[in-house]
Amino acid sequence: MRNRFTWNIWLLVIGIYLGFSVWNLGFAYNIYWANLHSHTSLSDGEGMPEEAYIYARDSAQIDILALTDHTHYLTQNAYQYTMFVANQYTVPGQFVAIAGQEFGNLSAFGHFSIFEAESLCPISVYNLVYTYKWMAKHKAYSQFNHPRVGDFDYLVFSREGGKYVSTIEVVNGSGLYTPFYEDLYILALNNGWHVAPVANQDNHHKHWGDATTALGQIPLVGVWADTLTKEKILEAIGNERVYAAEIKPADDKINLRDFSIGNSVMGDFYYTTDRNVTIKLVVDALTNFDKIYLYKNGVIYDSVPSNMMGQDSITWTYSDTITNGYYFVKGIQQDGDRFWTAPIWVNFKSGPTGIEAWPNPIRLNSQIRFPEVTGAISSEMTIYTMEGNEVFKQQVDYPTSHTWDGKDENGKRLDDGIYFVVIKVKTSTETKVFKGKVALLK
Amino acid sequence: MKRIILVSIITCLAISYLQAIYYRIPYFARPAALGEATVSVLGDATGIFTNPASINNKIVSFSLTEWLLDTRAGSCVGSYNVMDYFMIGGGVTYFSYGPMRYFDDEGNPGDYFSADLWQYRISLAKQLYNRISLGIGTKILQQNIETVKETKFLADFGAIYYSKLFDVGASVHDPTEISFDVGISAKPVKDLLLLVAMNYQDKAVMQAGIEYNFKPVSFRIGFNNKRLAGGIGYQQKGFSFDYALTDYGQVGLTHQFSITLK
Repeated sequence: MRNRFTWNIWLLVIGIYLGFSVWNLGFAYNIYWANLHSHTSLSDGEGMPEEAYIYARDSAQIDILALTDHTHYLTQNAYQYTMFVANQYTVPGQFVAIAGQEFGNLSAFGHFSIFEAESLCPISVYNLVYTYKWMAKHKAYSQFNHPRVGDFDYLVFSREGGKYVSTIEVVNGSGLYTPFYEDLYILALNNGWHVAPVANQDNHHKHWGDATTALGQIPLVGVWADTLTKEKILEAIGNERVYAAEIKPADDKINLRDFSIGNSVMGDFYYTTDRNVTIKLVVDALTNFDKIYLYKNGVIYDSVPSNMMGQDSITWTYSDTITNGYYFVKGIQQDGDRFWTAPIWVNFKSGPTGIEAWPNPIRLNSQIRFPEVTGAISSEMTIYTMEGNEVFKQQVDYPTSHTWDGKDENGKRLDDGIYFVVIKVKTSTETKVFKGKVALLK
Repeated sequence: MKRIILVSIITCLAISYLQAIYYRIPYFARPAALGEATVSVLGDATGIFTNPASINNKIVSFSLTEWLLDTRAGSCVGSYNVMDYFMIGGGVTYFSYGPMRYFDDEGNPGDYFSADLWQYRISLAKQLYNRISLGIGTKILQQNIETVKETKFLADFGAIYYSKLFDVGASVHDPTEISFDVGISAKPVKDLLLLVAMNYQDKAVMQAGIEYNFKPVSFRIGFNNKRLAGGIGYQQKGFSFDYALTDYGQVGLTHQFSITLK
């Protein structure tokens, strides 16, 4: 009897484990809630860093808090102290405490949040170019805070800045709220920035994580990450896998479950040689949704059909013929709370006009691509040395590409150099021959 | 005499176990048209690519090679008799692989990158007893692909035994892997040259060539690894022009144009 009971317990545990596994297969990322802009008494806020992290974790019950005290208030010791406390309060799986700084001057180019840099940014608050360079040099992910028209040199794209500025506020909970943030998010995207929208509280009082806007909403950032560790969260922020949400009441979280094209999720590039794509959106909350818009290259392109609205869970697929650019989604709940997703950037590539090796130079494995042949039944690829000697041959049925790992027929790795590729594609009526060169490097 | 020949050939074959391959490409028209079976041919510095012992007269030769799939090479060789004691020859070759386009794993194109090869070579040849020529050569290869530069120092050794009836030649090339040539040539009648050779580089490849002189024009045909080659030459006093065409099957045709000043 006891054995049977033990077996049942084991089966239950295995069942739960498998259930979670299957559930996780559907959702590659978990949603963690963050506030990425807040202050303490180390600059012009209230309380100490320990108090802030404890409040965010235990009272506001968010997963991530970034303290971003003003750089010009901080001494190097005070900043190091914040970093020390942040590391102390970061517990993988429970809470991530980020140490940051708010750099800049509103009378100059504006404010940045700079996360987890090793030191305070020493650049002049009037020197935007060197600020971008400093961020890149220190590999510190950064954020456009409460952008105003004209801030950040009108958000003109910077190649150096583009490496590490990854988020821009579309909602700021302080008194600096302006209706132009969304426009400036779009301006940044149109200028070439790869940034994701965030909704932050910019706390100056002791409500780190649950402070509300004038409309009573809690601005929060949804972060898509595998696990709740500092490394994964910073990686998600850096890769623009975040979205902005206004939350009211506190348990009415807007859960963005999916926003993807193919295998590319928000924040990613989607590369394709097929102009027809399907965009997928899955989002749920307690309050029903009123409107959900799909933006394409900065303008409203379409919306979720009205007969699907008025529900608290939306699953929408949308087929489009793409052009290069980006898509993002903005949604509004019936109580007025909004959310904005990060974009998915799409890059249409026409099919190869000749033989292409992806990658070229080849180092390990490579796809050898060739122009599409309608009705292709089979193809044969032959690799030749520079001397014209055959070293490798491969046949593929119903081909779109070949693969080659830089080895000869005997599995021996060939020397670095240039190799000739001849591909013969057969259809029922003809054989097309493509020729090209590829480079092989160790 | 026999002992010298035997020692030379055995030395060549022994050293061959230390040898390696590089791009064995005929940069000059005459060897190309004769199927590269010229390891036993004495007298032309353009043969130093096959056998450093081949240098026997003073020449300067220039060649343009239109190789496969938009690759091409320019080459220059020269040879000089040093106080009737030994021959010295040398050359430089530039091989352009043509523009190559960078692609990443996902097929995103990048900039074009350059890929090319420089070869510098110098050879010494010494004739003994009016029967044998011994040669030694060294070459520096510098290959540049994208940002990767690779430099190799390689060596050649060769010998040619020549007589009224026939000539025999052998050469070994380059360190680390087995690579050698052996061959024989003869003139059964005046103005007709017959050549047979074997090149070993991973596997044995038979080569053969025929040259017929109908002065001032020479007609040539060659076979190399089942590939057919052909060409013509035109000679005036102190000057010759040569052309060769080789069929590399589905990869394409190659052309060599050479001018030699004697």
